[in-house]
Amino acid sequence: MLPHRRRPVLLALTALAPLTLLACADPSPDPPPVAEAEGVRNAAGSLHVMERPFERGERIERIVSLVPSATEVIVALGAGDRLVGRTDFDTASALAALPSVGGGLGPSIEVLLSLEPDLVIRFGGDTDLATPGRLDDLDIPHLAVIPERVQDVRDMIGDLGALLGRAEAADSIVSHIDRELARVMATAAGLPPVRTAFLLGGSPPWAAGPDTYVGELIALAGGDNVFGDLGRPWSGVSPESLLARRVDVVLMLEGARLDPRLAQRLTVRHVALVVQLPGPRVHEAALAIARALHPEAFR
Amino acid sequence: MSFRATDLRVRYAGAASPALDGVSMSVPEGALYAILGPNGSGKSTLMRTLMGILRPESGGVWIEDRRVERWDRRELARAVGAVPQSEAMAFPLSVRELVAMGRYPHLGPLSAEGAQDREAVDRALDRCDVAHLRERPVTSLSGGEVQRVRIARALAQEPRSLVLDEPTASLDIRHEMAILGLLRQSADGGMTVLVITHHLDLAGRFADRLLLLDQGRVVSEGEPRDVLQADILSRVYGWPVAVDVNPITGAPRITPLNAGPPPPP
Amino acid sequence: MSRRGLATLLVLITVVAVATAIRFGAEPLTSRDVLAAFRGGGSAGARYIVLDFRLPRALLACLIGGGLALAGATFQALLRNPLAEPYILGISGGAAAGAVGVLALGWVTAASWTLPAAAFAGALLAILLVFSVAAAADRALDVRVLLLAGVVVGAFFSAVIALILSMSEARTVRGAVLWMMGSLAAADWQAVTMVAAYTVPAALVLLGLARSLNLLAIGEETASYLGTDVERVKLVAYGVASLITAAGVAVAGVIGFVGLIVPHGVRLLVGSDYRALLPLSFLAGAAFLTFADLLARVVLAPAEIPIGVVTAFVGVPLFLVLLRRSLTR
Repeated sequence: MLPHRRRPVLLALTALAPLTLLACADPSPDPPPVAEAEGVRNAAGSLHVMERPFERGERIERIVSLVPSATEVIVALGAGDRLVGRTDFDTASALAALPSVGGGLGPSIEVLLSLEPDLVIRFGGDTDLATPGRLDDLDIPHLAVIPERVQDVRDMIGDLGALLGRAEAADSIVSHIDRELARVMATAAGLPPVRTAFLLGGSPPWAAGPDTYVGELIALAGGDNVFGDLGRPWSGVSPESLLARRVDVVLMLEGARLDPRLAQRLTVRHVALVVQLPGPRVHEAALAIARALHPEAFR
Repeated sequence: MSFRATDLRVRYAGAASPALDGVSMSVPEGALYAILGPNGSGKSTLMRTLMGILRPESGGVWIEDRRVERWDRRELARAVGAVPQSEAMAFPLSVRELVAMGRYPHLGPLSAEGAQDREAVDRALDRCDVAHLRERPVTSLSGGEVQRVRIARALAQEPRSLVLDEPTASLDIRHEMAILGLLRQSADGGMTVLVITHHLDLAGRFADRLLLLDQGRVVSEGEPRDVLQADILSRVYGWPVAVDVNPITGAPRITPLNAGPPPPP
Repeated sequence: MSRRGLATLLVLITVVAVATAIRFGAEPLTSRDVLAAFRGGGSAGARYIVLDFRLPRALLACLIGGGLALAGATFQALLRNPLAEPYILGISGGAAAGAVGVLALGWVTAASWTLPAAAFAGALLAILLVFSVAAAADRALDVRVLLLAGVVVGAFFSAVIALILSMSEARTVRGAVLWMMGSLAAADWQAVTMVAAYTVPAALVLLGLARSLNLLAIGEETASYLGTDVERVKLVAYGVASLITAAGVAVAGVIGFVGLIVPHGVRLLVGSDYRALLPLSFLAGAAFLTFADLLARVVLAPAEIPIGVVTAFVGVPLFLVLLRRSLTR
C-alpha cells in the first residue's frame, strides 16, 4: 500500500492526466493571418472579419448568407444567382427553391457543408459564438456582418459589392438610398417635430431609444423621441411615462397591441416590419416612419 | 369507553401479506390494556385501525358500541387521546403551544382558548412533569422530554380514554414509573387506557389485560399471568425466556436466557 | 415581538407602502396633484395616472404579494417542508408554458385577456397533472409523491417552454423571458377585480383552516387524532392555495421569493402558530411586494426592472440574514 501522504498527490495527478491530451490533440501549425479588406468596418467599430484571404479577382461562385439583410443586398447587387442556400427567414419567392440551412443563428452545419459554399456570411458579434469555429474547422471562409445602424447598411453594401466584384452596382444602390433619405429629411425639416415613441408590445411596453436603427429613422423622419434619455438602446418603460411625456404619435409594428388604457388616450399608428430590420430597404423604412408621423406631408 | 375489534384484516397498499390477519380483541371499560408483540407484529397497525385511520379489508371496529366510521373525528378526539409512536414537526413550536393543540377538539370554529382551556393545559403539563419546560421550543428537548410533552397533549384533551404507542420508550426509570403510575391511576379512575409497549415486565405489572400479537395474528389475550407464559413467549419472540414471579412486586417476571447450552456448573 | 404589536406595525407599513406607491412613480407628480386626483380635480392626465395606473397597481401588488405569502405558508404546512413555496407543485411552469405558447402563436394581440387566460389555463393544467399523478399513486395525496410529481411536472413544462423558444424568433423569446420575470405593469382595474375575486375568498377560507394547518404541520396521523378531517382539509387547502397562486401568476408572471421568505420572516418574529402566521404573512407580503414594485418602477425610471428581479435582489440577502439569525439562536 502507498504511504498515506503520497495517495492524494497520486490521485490529483491521475485526475489531471487526461487534460494533457488536450495539449497534444491539435497538431496544426499557427492559424493563417487574417486579411482585412479595406474599409471593412461597421459603425460601432468592429471588424467584418475575413477568415481566409481572397486573392483579387478570385471569383466567389457559391454563397450562403445566414443574414437575411445581407441576402437582400446580394440579390439587389445582381449576384442572386450565386446564392446556393438560404435560411428559414429568407421568405422571398425568388429564393424559395434554394435549400434551407435552418435558422440564421445555429444553422445546420451538415446542410451548409453539402452546399460547398465559397463564402458564408454570418452574424458577427456574440449572438452566435459556435458557428465561426465550426466554419474554421471545415475550412470555409466566412464574413461577419453586424447590420445594426443605417451606416452599417451602407458599409455592408459596399463590402459585399467589393467582394463580389459588383462595386459599381453597390455604389449605385448606396447613392439611391442616400438620395431617398435626403428627400425624406428635407421634407421633414420643414415640418414641426412630432413627439413620438416606438413601442414593442408587452407589459411593460418596450421603447426604442435614440441609439437604435428605429431611433435613427425617427430622427431622420422628423420625429422627437420622447425617450431620448433612455440610456440604453431598448428598455421596458413605465406605462405612466407614456402619458406624462405628451406623446403625439405612438409607433408600433403591424399587429402589435398596446395596453388598452394607453391606446384610449394615445394616437397609435402602425408601421411595416421593414423598420425593425436594417437592410437595403432602409429608405422605405424611413418613408414608412415619416408617413406615420406626418401623414399629410408624405402622401 | 370500550374498544372492540372483530376479525380485522388490514393490508397496506402493495403488500404481499396482510399486516393484521383476522384479529379480534376487546378492551373493557376502565381497563389498562397492554398490546405486546415482536417488531412487525402489527401493534401500531392495530392502533391506527382502532382509531379509524386505516380502513380494514374486512372486519370491524366498535368504540363504545358505535362503529368507528360513524364517529365524527372531532367527537372522537374529545373522547380519545391518542399518541403515535413518533412525530416529525416541520416547524419549531413551544411546549405550551404543542400541548395547547390538545384543546383544539374542544374549540368551536371561531372561538379562541378560554380560561378553562388554559387550566386543562396547565394541569396536563404538571401531571407529566414538563411544566418547567413550557416556553422551550420542542426541538430543543431530549427524546424523553418530547415524549412526556406529547402525553401531556393527550391529557389536555381531557379524554375518556387514552391510546398510546410506546409511551415510555425513551424515558428514564423515574419518568417511566411516573407515567405508568399516571396511566394506572387514570385507569383506576375509570379511564380506558390502551398501551402498546415492549416492556413485558412492566406490562405484566401494571396492566389489567394483555394482548399478544405475532405476525398480524392474535396469539393470546387475557390476564398477565395467562398471557405471559414462557413457552409461548419464547416461540413468539424467537428467543428463550424464563418466566417466574417477581418476589417484590408479585407480578410475572420475564428473564431472557442466554442462547446456547447453559454454562457448566 | 407580540402578535398584536406586529399586526399593528404591518398594517401601518402596508398603508404607508400603498400611499408611497401612489405618490411616486416614473413621472413626477406633486402631492397636491395626487390628492387633487382623488378629489376629482387636477389635470385629467394626472387623474388618469393616479386612478387608472398607480392605484390599481398598488392594490394588485397588495393582493398578489399577500396571496403569494399566504399560499407559501399554506404549502409549507401541507408539505411539512420549510422550503416549500407557491410554485413548488409546478404551477409557475404550467402558467409560463401557457403564456409562452400564446406569445409564440401570436395570439397575444387578439385580445388583451388572451395572455392571462392562457397562463391561468396552463397553471390549472399543471395543478391537475400533479394531483392526478399523486392520486393515482396513492389516494391519500402523500407529501413525497406530491413533491416528486411537482418537480417532474415542472420539468416537463420547462422542456415545453424550451422547445417553443428554440423555434421562435428573437422577439418572442424576449417577450417570453420578460413575462417569466414578472411585471405588474398590466395592473388595470379588471386585473385587480379578477385577482381579488380569487384571493379574498381564498384567504378567508385559509384563515378558517389555520388550526387545521397547525395540526397538519405536525403530522397527518396526529392531526387526525386531534380531530382534523385530514383528507378534506388537504383537498381544500391545496386547491385554494393553488388557485391564489394561479391567479397571481396569470396576471403578473412569475414573481419569486415572496411566497418563500415572507412566511419565514414572520415565523422568526411570532412563531409558527398559523392563526397569527397567516394574516401577518398576508400583510407582510402585501407590503413587501408593494415596496418592491415601487423600486422596480422608480429606480431606473422611465425604465422598469422586472419585479421578479427586485424580489430576488431584496429577498435573497434578507432570507440569508434571517436564516443566519435562526441558526445562531
